[in-house]
Amino acid sequence: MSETLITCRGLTKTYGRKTALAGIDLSVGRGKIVGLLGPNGSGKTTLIKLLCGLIQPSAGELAVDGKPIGPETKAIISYLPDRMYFANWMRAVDLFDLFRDFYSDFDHERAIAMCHSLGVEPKDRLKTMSKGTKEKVQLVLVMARKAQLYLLDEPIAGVDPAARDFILRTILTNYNEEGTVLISTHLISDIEKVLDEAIFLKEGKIMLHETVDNIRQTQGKSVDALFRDIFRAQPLEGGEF
Amino acid sequence: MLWKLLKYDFRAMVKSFAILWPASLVVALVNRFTIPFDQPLDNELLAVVTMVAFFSVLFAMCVAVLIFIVQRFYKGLLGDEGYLMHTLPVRTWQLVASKLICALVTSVVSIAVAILAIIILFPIKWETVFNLATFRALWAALTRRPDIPLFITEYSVLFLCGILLCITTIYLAIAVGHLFQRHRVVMSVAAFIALDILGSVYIDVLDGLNLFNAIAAQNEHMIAWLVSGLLLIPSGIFFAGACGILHSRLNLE
Repeated sequence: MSETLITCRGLTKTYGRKTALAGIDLSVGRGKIVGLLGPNGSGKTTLIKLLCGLIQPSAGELAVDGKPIGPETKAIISYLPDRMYFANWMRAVDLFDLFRDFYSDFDHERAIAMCHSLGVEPKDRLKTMSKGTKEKVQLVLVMARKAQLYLLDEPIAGVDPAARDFILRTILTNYNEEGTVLISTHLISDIEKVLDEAIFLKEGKIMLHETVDNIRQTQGKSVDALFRDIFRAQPLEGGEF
Repeated sequence: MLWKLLKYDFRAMVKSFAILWPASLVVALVNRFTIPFDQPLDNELLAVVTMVAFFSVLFAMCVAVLIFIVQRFYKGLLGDEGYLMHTLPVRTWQLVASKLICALVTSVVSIAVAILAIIILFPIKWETVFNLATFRALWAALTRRPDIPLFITEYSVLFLCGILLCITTIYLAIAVGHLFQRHRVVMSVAAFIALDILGSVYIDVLDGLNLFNAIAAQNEHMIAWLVSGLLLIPSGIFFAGACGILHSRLNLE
């Protein structure tokens, strides 16, 4: 088992002429909750998709647990995408069966218990569920695994503050503490209190990778305040913020 | 892992065809009793309506199979469902092979259902079939040509290889379309046309070699195996091409 969980060297991803990630170098260790922070279009989702193997790098190297992205790394990654990824004809229990078949770290009983605590009926068809309930099912699928690396892409975007707390609480009470959680978001104030480290991404480059304690100590401000300083948009001429 | 993938692909197939397959058989059965084939039609309008309904179901089945093949690959691997499938700890070729096997079985079962529907529709006089003379004639034919079952097997394999080539052509065309940033569907259609032309050129070249006639003259059983083999070559290349693109150039933006 490698000490460093995520290793990127010169990682670059371009879409046509647009550069989404510009040669980033990054190392992330184990047993941490890491915020992948940046405005829209900064490359957060691109980095997560590269780690999952959903897109391929244009240049550079990427490894999880010392291995290149492939079936072995996918077996230890639990990924929450920013969209619904299941067929509507299925029921939640069908998905749990599928996960049990493919992931040895999936805890079926825990998934059922999580469903009940979240008010989801696992035998209901997904097509009869509301968008919010489907999101809960997807969250259950991800958090019922004892994964080494949780990749959560904007898990609290587009939901009200009460639901954000609820989602964060579900994540924090269910993740494998020996593993690492990488949460991408631009809603920093909501997750700052749970983060061990923060990675600031801007225009495909890492602006900062530091522990939250160090940020507070050296910068004398919260992660949210620092984020606002770094990413403050320049007003149009004559305009004011 | 392939078996596990197949389990879910077959479940999707059953969900898709659970209504269509029985419906085509039921419509055929209704037609069977609605259209008096051996008597003048009493109610021609009813007969026409039911016949139209029957052939509509068969046509719908063909279209459904085609849509199923395209959709299971395109939406299942390159759409939102791809976010689930490509994060499973399996090899890319296993994902594609599972879709391919399922598509092949779907095609064969649909053809079988269509044949069954036609058998149900057109009344077979079983007393003639089970007539001793019929059996005698059949037995005489089989004793004259004891290799008839072998021929049937050979041409069934050839037929399967033909379907396999069609499906792998569709898969590669979709994968090629995926390489483009924009107009992926249009590029997939263009790739399909190009691959189809390539296939025609391949057959023309083989035909020009006069291989088939020469081999048929030597051994008439060889021809079906040879053509099956020649169809498997491009199928294998197309399958490998689709897997290669999905493995190295996957781009679920």
